[in-house]
Amino acid sequence: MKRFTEYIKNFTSSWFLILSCAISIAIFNGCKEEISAPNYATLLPVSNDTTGGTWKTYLITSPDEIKLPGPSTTLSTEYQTELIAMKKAMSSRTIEQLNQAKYWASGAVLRWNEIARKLVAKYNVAPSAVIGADGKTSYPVLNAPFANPPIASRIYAYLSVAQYDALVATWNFKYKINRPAPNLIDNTIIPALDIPKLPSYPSEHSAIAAVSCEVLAFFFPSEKDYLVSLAMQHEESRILIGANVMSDITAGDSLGKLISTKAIARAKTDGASTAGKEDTLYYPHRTDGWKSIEIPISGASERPAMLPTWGKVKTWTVPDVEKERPVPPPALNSIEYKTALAEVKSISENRTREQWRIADYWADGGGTFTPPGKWNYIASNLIRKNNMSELRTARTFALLNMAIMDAGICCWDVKYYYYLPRPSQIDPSIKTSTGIPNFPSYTSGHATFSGAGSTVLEYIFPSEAASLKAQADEAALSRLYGGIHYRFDNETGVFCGRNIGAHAVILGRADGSP
Amino acid sequence: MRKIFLVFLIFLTPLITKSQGLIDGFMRGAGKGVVALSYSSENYKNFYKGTTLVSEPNLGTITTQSISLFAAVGLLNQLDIVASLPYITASPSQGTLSSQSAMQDIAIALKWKPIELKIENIGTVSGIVSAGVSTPMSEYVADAAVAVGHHFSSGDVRVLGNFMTDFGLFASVQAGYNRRGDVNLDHVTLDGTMKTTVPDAVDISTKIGFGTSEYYIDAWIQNQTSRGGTDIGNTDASFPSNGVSFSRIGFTGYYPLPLFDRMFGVSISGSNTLDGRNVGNSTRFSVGLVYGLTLWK
Repeated sequence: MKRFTEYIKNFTSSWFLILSCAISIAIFNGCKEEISAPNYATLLPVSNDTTGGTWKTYLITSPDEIKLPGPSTTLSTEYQTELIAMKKAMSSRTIEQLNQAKYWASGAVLRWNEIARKLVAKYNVAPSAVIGADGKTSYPVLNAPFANPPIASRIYAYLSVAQYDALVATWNFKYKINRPAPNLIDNTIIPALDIPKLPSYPSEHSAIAAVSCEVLAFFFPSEKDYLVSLAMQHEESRILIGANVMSDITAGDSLGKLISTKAIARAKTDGASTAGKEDTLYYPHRTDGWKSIEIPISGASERPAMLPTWGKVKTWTVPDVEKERPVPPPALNSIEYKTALAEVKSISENRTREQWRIADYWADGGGTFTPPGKWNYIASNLIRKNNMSELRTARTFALLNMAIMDAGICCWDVKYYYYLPRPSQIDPSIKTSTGIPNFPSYTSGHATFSGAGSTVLEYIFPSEAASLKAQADEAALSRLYGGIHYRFDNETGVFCGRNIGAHAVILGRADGSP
Repeated sequence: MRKIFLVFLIFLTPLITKSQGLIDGFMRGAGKGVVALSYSSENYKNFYKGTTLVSEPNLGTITTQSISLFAAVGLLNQLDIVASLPYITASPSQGTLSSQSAMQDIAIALKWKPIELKIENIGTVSGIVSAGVSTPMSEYVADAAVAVGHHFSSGDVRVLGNFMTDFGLFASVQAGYNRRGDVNLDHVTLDGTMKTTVPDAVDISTKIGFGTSEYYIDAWIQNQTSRGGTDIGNTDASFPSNGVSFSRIGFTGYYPLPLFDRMFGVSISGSNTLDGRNVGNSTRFSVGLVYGLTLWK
């Protein structure tokens, strides 16, 4: 049978080639184009945030911790040589290089956030089960990291906080040293793109490129070469458009790398590497209740719980994780619980298209940038709409992602503390619109992430507060519509998330930014 | 030459090129029509994830059942209009994922026979071209593991060559190109849009059979090849963006019922998947009630 199949394939494929080309060219005029990253206009911030060098940092105590070589004056031979080199590079710039420069100039922090989201989506694939010779099932992570929502939240947080600290330090040097941009020194230089009116040493772009590349390469070691090539392209783009000379770039690059070492040092000791172990339960008194009902391959045992000890990971903004714990969920034999279960069942049997749409819009499951990524996406749109400076963009993402990572930590603590079964575990007739995440039900991770994320964004974008709050509530409710959470999981989750987000808002209010 | 009065039923599955099943080598004749109501059941336990055959215990066997309405009318002796509309239910046997049911896509095609060469005492060679469109008739879910379809509109052109002997044996080859429109998704993709493209598809099939004015039987083999597309499990790949390809083999039979002046008949058809990409390794069975009528003379 197999040979017959092969024969048919070979026989027909030569025909397809001829026919598909002929017909498609004749009638449809060629093929569709590949999808590429969205284009945006060059970033021209409403404010340059000139006091940014004094804002409070998170990884370093103060920008003075960072030592940079004293730059040469613009009159020096050294500087003049760099200026000539820059002009030479500009004159041989290709169209492709200009397009690359436009890509980065539309918002460097935003672009690296986009890149991080794409990497998270690429790595958000649950490890496959392997049944060993002893009959036992294991789940080796072959393509580390498995970027599930808590792991993703950690990546976004370290990237954003490191970018923010690097830019505070950059702003500090920029306004201390006050080196003018090349076109202000030599009026024959016309930058190919609009450049923000900032002192040029060190380059904020090279600081962002270096810190982002190093932090992401720490989390995605197999992507190192790709990330390094992006960072090089990013840094060179500023010379090619006439925004910076080489010493601006190298200073930003060293600064970014120094900050990245601080971020990586914290990441190595935040408890995530041990907390990620899937074989131990942090709360041994909860051995009943929730059970995994996910069987990845025939004959395998159920997939173990995701990140049972994530509640122990070091937080950014929350002083005491246990204090964020909500009241217990209703007991399984209570009227309140039975009513909540009946509601999930009723939705599962009568799910409307609109409920399905909402469940799908917020699902952000495997292969996507996760719910933390969704809130980064929402923030990105607001940041662009408000033309924030690179520094203020980084601050927004830092506050957002510290809150969201903390939300994940607190929520995972709650999940394994109360160990509540999913609705379908109690009533297998409940059908879902989306896969059931492999951890206990109470409280909803989506709801907690969303409560925290929206609270931070409501503080930063007060005119959008009503819409953001509505989005968080919808994200929470989407899990009920999906049939995978009780209403109380979502409502309590979003409530806890808001409390967690409030800790980040306190930090934001006190960071010295106007 | 004996006139073949037929008909065959629709190989409509949610995921395949629709017009392939609509077009055959025979014309109705001006004023003649046929209406058919069919029931189909297709199921698979294993599916091609990319080109690797896998199963998914959290889905089990996926069964897709459909009720389809099919109609064909000869506008002129050399011009037919054909249409189909299925109502589909898809459900998994295991796990928690929900079943879905919906009116799927209407497909309409015009079929024209510009070439007909009679060879004395041997048979007839004919050439047929067709152009068709299909579009969703309800807001069913486009992007789900268990789905009734992928909710895109498409345009389809195809050519068909048919040779039929005077005693009823025939053979035909057809090739088509299916151009597919974008799909609106319920969620945001990595590119910040809520849309995805659907890869176009090319298909080719060949068929041999025997038909008289009453009975009909054929056997066919079909290959659809997607022009690019993602694979199941790729980063950010929605199901509609998957490249769906397959080779299938099948048969069709028709038998007139000895009632009402033999205006009614029963058709049966079956098919089996030989190979594929991002498609179920499925077996399909259909049974239909066919009514032939004369609308004008």
